[in-house]
Amino acid sequence: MDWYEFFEDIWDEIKDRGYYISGIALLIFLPSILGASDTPSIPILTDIYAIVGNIGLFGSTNFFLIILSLCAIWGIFAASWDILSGYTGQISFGHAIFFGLAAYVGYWTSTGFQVDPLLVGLLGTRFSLAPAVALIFSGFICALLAVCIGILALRVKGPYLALVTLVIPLIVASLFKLEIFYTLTGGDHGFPNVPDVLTPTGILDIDTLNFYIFSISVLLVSVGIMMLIAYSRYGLVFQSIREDEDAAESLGINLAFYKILAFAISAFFAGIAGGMYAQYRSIAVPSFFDTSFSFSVIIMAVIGGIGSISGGVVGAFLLTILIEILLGDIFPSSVLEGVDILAFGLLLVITLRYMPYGVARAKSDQKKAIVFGLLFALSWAIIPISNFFEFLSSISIGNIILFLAMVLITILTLPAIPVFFVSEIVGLFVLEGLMGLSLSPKALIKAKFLIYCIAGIPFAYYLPKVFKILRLRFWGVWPSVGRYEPE
Amino acid sequence: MTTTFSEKQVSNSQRSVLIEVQNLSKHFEGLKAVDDVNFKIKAGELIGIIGPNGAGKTTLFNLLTGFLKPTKGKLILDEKKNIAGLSPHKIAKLGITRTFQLVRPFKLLNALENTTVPHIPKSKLTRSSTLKNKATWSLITVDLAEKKNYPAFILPHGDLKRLDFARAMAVQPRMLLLDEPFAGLSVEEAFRVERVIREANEKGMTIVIVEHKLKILMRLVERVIVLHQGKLIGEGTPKEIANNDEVITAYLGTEAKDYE
Amino acid sequence: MSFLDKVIPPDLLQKEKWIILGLTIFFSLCVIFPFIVQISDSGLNFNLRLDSGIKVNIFAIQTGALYALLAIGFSLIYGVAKQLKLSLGGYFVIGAYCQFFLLETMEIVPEIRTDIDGLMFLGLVLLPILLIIVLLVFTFTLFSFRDYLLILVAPVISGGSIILIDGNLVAGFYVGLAAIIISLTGWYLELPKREIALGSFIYALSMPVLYILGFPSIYFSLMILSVVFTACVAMISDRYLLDTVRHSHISVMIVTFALALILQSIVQVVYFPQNGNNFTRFQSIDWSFPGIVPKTGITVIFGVSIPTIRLISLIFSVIAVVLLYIFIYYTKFGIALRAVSQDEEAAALVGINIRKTTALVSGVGMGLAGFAAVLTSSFSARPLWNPFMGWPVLIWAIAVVTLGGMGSLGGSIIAAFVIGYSEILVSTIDPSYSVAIPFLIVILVMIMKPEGLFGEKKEVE
Repeated sequence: MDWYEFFEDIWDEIKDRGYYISGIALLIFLPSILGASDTPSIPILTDIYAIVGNIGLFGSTNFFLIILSLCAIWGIFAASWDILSGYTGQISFGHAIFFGLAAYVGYWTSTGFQVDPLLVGLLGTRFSLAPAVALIFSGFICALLAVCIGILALRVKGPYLALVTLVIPLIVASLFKLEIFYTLTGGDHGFPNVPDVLTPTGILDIDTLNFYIFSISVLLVSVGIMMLIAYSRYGLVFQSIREDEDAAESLGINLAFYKILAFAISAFFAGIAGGMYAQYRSIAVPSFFDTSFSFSVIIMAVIGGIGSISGGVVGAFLLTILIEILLGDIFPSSVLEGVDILAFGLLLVITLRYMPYGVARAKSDQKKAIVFGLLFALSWAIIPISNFFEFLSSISIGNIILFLAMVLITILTLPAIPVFFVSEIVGLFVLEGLMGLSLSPKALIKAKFLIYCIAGIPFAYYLPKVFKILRLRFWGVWPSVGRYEPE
Repeated sequence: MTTTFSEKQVSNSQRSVLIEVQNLSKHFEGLKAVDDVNFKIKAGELIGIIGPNGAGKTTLFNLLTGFLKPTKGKLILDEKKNIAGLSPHKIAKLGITRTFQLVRPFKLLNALENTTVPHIPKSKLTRSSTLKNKATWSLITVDLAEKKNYPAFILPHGDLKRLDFARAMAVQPRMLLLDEPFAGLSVEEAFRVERVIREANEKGMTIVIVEHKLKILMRLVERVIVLHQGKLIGEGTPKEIANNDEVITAYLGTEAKDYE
Repeated sequence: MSFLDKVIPPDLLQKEKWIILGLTIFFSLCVIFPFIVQISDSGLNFNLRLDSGIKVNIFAIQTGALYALLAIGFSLIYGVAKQLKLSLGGYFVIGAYCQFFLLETMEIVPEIRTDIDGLMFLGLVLLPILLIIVLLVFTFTLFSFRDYLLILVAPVISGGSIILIDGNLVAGFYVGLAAIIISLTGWYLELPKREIALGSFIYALSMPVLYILGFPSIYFSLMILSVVFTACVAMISDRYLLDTVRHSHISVMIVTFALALILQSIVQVVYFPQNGNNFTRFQSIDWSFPGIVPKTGITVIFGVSIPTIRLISLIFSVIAVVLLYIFIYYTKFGIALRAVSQDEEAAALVGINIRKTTALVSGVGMGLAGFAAVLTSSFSARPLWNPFMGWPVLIWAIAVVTLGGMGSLGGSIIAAFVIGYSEILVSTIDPSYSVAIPFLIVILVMIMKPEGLFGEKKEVE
């Protein structure tokens, strides 16, 4: 092979995965970017964060890190759903069963069982595992359960399987709530104080930064493993089962083995996510089996893009940040309950209507529109704040970089000024006039950011098309003569 | 589909019985889809199965490849092993595979991946480059190599028929069952498929074809089996079948002379 | 073809005999069990008692009929449009709240109106009046002037007479609106214009007459309104959201799930903006099944006292199921539905409008869900009044449909009674098992017969 070609191939690969690589790099360096305590932080970025933090888009550092840990957990869960349903086509509407079971198994194993008197010499009076080991152990238990469900899936197919899996977690939850199992399951209220990896005693406060690092590293490792599986020949077999079971079986593929394998792999990682979530929340309760958990993971995977493991992670980060950081502040649950669910539903319907393969595999002009809309919203929601210019009093490299970036973004998004005015008026009407909400200044910025996003993304999508038509009308030249545009 | 395999087949067991169907029946809640059928297929033969719609041809295929379990009867492979009721993937490993009436490619996979899948279960430890080479070779045999990176859902119907065929051939079967391989093809495409089938048969593969386009079938096959309402009503060379009165009344009608 | 052949689908009788046998044994055991076994603090008693047996049986039949109502819609949509609509619960919520809204705006519950005011409430009250004007204009474009006058007579007569007799302006508006909606439904079903005019005229005359005779005709028209409103929401959302993803099971399921979320949170956000989750007052209200019976009303049958609401709910469920059977097996559209369920493309080739048929079937199915909501909304235990009450309904409907076999109406009805009986019987013994046991039955049947009791097996081609 020609060396030049080799490097060109590698460059193409990097270009294709640029979003993901930069995303991973961002995640790794985020603690230092945000200037978290006890870590060496990069001076320029600390400056920038100080300014952004002052404006209040992200809230305090620790809060942001907690949310990102949650994103990582949901990311693992969504990816695990995707390898079962997106890759193998065995639609599971009850993935929460692994989530909930892992939470309980993690609690049981990490707090310990009373050991039978005969075995005391061998194991000590109490048998317990370290929380990190318990995590993997609960993953394996979930995989065992998944083998049982997989055997069911050999007979029940397609939409029937979806409906049956929807029902199974409810049965398990109702069994867990029974009084005769009270000592084992803790009844309706479950167990408080699940020991987590960093504080094995199970105290409520978790070490934010270290838990963040732990969860992100688990995310990277497990999603990496899942991607390796998906791109290997096993992934190919899984996909062939999704496309056509009968044809795959007539080619000599052992359906039973591969389906159960897919169930087990998926359940293992779902179990790890469930165990981590129990540690994150420090509780294990029957509501972990709820349909809402099963469905929020599906929504994340669908918005990110079914059939690509990374899509689930993208969807998990997008939705969790949207719900927890933006909507959580703008509409506190005391004022308007159900707005987050409304946003979930609307986003899902809109995504499936316009981007049926999700954000990760959207058309390039749609991706561009999203990036443009976000930049537009970022600059126009933040710049009008007066204290933004305070940084000029202390001149540092970070300030100058930020200033230049803001100027650049502003110039780039100048064509969207009409959108700015429209959304300003709409925003005022919606937020202050109609609802009568009294927002804090920081929540107001977030609300504006959201409204500018909603207005800016369609604008950015349709502007080039309108521009094309106008150019055709006035100059009489079709701008893309000779270029192949598959539309 | 390697040359060693075919040479061995032709030299070793010239015309030995590959599969023997004994008293095979399949009933669906009173409907006798296949009713007490007996015939033998010899190794290296090219056989056609004909019959009017609902005669039980597809059901027979499903029984032979394990997609349905027979109500009663036996399928004896190599005069010793009864394979009736085994699951499809086991039967595929024993060397019997099929194509389907409608084209059923793995739509979102590309042509190369489509032909890679059948190589996987047999060769779990081979390197992926070897796997790729084998899959490419399967595509070359049906003239699809230049389209190997196209996803299957954008390929035209004729290409898909050949892709299905290549995928089934990649299993390296001893017997291949083709369910209407010429349906919906233009004359030119049908010629290409016919050529591919002939080549495979000349290398020693047993091929059974269900087809409604009698003109092509009659000039292609050596022997014809006629089913009518689940029963076997005739067996013989194409010429014998065209002159068989029972078959003519059941199926061919008065136009039988055209096919001679 | 005899009448019996049409009512009991012939495919039901041809199925394997052991299923019929097993079901017969199951039902006879279920019917006899509560007569013989009683539960008290000391444990199980075995002696023959008539009253508890009748009571448990009526409760079980009523529960089963309700599940049948929900499951038939679900199953019908799957059979015809090949879609699994998880939005069933959402429409259930819409039906219940629509009924409540109509009652509320009619000042039937005056104490509630005082604490919601402002722009939002004004909008909600003005909305029906706006709707009636829009509908009048829309109807004008559909019919010739003579037909239009004939059709306009119905709302004027019915609404005007109700206003004159009862003195309630809003109630009159609603009765008139129902008249217009009846004629529009007739137009949508492509009935002859003469029949439409006749039907709405009969409605217009019967409303005041029945009112004078003591029949609660206003509530009846409110029921029609909320059911038709639910059906309209279902049809519109079907048309605009499911068009692009019609043929993918998983996409349809996800979109309809999102739809259920949206409907539920719209009720939550718009209808109760300032009050959050404060739904306690709904419990305290003394209104019941559309105002006909008081909530605590009791009827005595064979010396057994049974809540009147349950009896009325039972009667109305049976009426709805019978009407549905007549619709499917005797009307032009019913034939079209069955044709589409057999083969969509062939039906399109002979001139059946597939899009309209699928929209109509989802309207009918979800309208049934709305009807079930109207029937149950007065019960004490299920559903509690909140926007999330659709989910358990959906889960029960799914259990019934998977047990009975997807797309088989008769199977759904039988399975509904299986589930209803097992739930009620288990809950008489120990209520904490009443969710788990019916679901376990479903799972066991699915393992033994994956396509359900009366489902169709798919063959390899």
